Amino acid sequence: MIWLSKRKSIFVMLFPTLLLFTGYIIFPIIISFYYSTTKFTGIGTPEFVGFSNYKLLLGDSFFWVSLKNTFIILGVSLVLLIPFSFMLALLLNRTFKGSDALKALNYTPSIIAPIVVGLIWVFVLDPQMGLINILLVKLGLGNLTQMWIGGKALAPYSIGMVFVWQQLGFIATIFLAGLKMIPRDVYESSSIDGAGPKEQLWYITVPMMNETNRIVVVLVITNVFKIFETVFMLTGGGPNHQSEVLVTYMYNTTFTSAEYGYGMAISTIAFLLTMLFSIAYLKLSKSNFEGEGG
Amino acid sequence: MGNEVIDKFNIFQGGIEMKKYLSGMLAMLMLITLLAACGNPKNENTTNEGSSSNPKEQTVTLDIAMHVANVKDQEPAMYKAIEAFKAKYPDIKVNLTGADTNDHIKKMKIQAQTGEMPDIFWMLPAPAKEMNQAGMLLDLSEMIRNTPELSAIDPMMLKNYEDGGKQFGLPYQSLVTGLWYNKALFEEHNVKVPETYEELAEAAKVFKANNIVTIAKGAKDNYSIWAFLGMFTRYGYFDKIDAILAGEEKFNNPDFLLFFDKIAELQKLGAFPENVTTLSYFQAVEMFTSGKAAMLDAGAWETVKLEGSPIAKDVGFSWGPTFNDGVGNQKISMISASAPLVASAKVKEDTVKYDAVQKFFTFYYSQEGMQIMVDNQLPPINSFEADVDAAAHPVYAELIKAMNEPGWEKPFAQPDLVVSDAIGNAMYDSIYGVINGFYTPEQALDLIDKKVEQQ
Amino acid sequence: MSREINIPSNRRWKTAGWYILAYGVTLIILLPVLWVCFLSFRTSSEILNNPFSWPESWSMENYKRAFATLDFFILYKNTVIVAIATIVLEILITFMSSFALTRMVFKSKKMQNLIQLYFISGLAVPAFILIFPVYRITIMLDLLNSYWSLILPYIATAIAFNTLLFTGFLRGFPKEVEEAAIIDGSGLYTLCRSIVFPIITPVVSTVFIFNILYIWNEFPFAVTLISDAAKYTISLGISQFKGAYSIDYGGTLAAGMLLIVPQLIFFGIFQRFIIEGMTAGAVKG
Repeated sequence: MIWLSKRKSIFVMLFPTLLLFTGYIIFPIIISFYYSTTKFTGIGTPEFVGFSNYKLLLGDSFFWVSLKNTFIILGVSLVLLIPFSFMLALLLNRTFKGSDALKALNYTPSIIAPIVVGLIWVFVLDPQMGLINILLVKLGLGNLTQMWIGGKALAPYSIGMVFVWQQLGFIATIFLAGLKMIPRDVYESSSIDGAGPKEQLWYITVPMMNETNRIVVVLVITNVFKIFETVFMLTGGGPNHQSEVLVTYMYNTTFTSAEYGYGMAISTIAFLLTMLFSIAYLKLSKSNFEGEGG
Repeated sequence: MGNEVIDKFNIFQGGIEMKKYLSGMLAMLMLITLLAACGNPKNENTTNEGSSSNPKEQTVTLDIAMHVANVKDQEPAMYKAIEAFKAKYPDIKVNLTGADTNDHIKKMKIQAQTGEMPDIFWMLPAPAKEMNQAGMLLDLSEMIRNTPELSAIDPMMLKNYEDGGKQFGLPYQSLVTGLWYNKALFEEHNVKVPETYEELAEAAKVFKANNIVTIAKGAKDNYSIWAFLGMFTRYGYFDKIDAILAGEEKFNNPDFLLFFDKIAELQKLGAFPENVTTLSYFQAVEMFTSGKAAMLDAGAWETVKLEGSPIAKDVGFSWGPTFNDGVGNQKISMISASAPLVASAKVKEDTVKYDAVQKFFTFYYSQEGMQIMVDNQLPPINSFEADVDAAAHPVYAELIKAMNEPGWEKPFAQPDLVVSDAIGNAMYDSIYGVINGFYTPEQALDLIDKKVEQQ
Repeated sequence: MSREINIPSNRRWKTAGWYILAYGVTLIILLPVLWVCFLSFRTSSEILNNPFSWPESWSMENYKRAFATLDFFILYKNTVIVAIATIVLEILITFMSSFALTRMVFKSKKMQNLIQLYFISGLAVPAFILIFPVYRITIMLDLLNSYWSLILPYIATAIAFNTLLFTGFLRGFPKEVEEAAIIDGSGLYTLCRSIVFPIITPVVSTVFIFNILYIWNEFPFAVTLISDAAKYTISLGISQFKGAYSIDYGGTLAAGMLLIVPQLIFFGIFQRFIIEGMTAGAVKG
């Protein structure tokens, strides 16, 4: 069943990717880590300060706020984005009149330039001039109006919703690709065995989508930790850093406040956390998967 | 059976296959290289290096980089100055580029790392000072001594960009900031245009009762606190800042606290927009020009926009309120040097280029250059006699009137421009924290002190 | 369990329900986009002051200004060149490496997993970490202001995503297919080209679409590495409407719409290929 491959052929297959990836991604990460141990404004010579940037982070309340917000968005995404996009994929997997066009249209939010995404949602979420609050008032539900953004509490949830909206089509497309790869005859034979659509969904589609699920969850985790443009355009991390997420806070310290070393310490932490979560998830889900597959 | 598979699955046995694969890949690589190379005429801009014996006959290209993406539309005065300069010196070419302020600063810093900066560029004062300390910027002292147009620039403005015996930059423009106000709204509600803080507080009460915003501001752009920086100078900012930066004094001191208490009071009076936390500066301007706000915290750069707005005829300009518990001179008019134009130290290595840079600066600060600024409704940097047509340019006339009002004294600089970017941003955060109602005055001041300690 | 006695009218209702659901969901998702389209015909001042009122006249001013400010031909040309070169190269190399990581046998299984993890770790990297060092590499390779200055980092940043997708899907399909091919005597190249590649066409299409859209919208690298207006890509174009103290909302939105439409058309066309790839691949066995 198993065949061995020659080392040389493996090397030829891997080499171009390894070279580019190491040069353009890993090498810069190492450099960034080095900067995180220095005091550096981005100009002149960095001054080595050991781990004092990391110590400062522990006492930086804005950092903790940005971490908390990132986790809130992660929670919102895992709870809403994954089931919704799976359902959307199931919906779009049916062939019907205009289904191609619908697939394209559902993907639109992911296409729009991030600067425009932020701008659109300002006009939806703003407490004074946003669509939601104005509609609520017009419907006589004025007491339900909220500080969707600009307050202290709701902003990360609102950002989470925008993220869900933006990623829905993207994640659904991945689910869709997974659905398309399930061989049709599996369904055919199960139909003959008398399985209805519900049974097929639970006992065939969901288990067969295991790889896809793993991909999607990892993508959601890593994309949440990388959220930047939406927040930057929607609230700028404000008011007073209350809606900051890890990457916007990193950007603001690194480039606006010119604390390059400190900013790189934040990105190192962000990177490590993302890795931690993704690997933990992959490990956990793998044991499940292997248990089933044998 | 297993072994059979192993043997067959060996790409070096199927050598033809491998060759096919490799040559296919090579061909593709070459094709793409060709494609990319076609559209890439190697950027051999700059000068014909080496032969600088007869500078007059050579063409030279000046690289100039600005802090807006579209210089023609967003910094029209600079664009027109460059066009006029090119017309005057046909043998000097100008390669003008730009990016949004944040991106521009980032880009200049990154380029500084490899010494690839443009010949002349706009920069914020703090990083410009650091570039100067790292020896990356051209010392302009000699150029200023040799050029009457440059030595005519206000010495105090020049002093802002002098460090370690080097003149590393020239003020790009005059930074004139304060409160624009809408005369019609003040008249309509029978309120006096405030000169003192008490009058401002009174006005805020009346406007609040009539559902009008007293001072339009947007916290989303946290740097938009110019008038408040001006007020800061009326509480002895420049007497204390050196001691604060040296660690001998705190931002959280009784005088500054009095000032922050006033901001908190204005916040409680409802002087700021209700949605100030989500407003951007651009939206605040719109709020003012559409007659929803009585005053706007901004500066001279809005002149053209205000003149094109429906309230153009009603706009006035003030330096902001004075305080009876303030420290030192209260009549401070916020006219100072804007962020500087700097030149790369590399220019020095090339006499042709150095000559071109000198010509450019000379032209920019000449009477001809000042005329271009005035034509674009910007306050001139150098002394300049101009008749302002008040009918055609009512807002500009108001601005110039305020600038020429006797008895007012210019500050050393705008307060945020004499500290590092990190402290400057902490100042923005703390003042907006009080305006947003998020911080008490003490908390806000402690926030800046914490940043000072970290530096 | 036998439910095959489907009442026709019931089924029709069901189909109608699906239709309404699919179109309804799409409409909700599209609402903000339609909103932007609506706003793009209004002046900046109207957008900020009175976004909800029905415009008295539909003005094309924003679009005229967008066309006057931006040279769409150059923007599209540059973006297309960069995108095509990037995508062809990256799909080729990441497919090769992913194939090696999933279908070839390493002496050490651990090593194989480690390399895969190594590539996937790239997903955790925000672009801003890379900008400083990538600029230095670009200078070192003397690529500044060339298409290559963008193509190489774009390929590198796509490696993680592509590896995740390719390895995931490659692992998902039955080994028997290629084993049969090997027994038939096909080499590695033929195996990949004529058996494996067609089967995973849907994934390749997915990767293709995502990457082209990523490149289309990518801003941080483009703004740092490209200073020459003749090399500007589309995402740099849209940034032209924001000044130091001003922003042209109308122009931004109009330019935004002008960018969305071709992307939508592109995506609409490519959807078909995913489906065609499926049927042509004929993975019936």
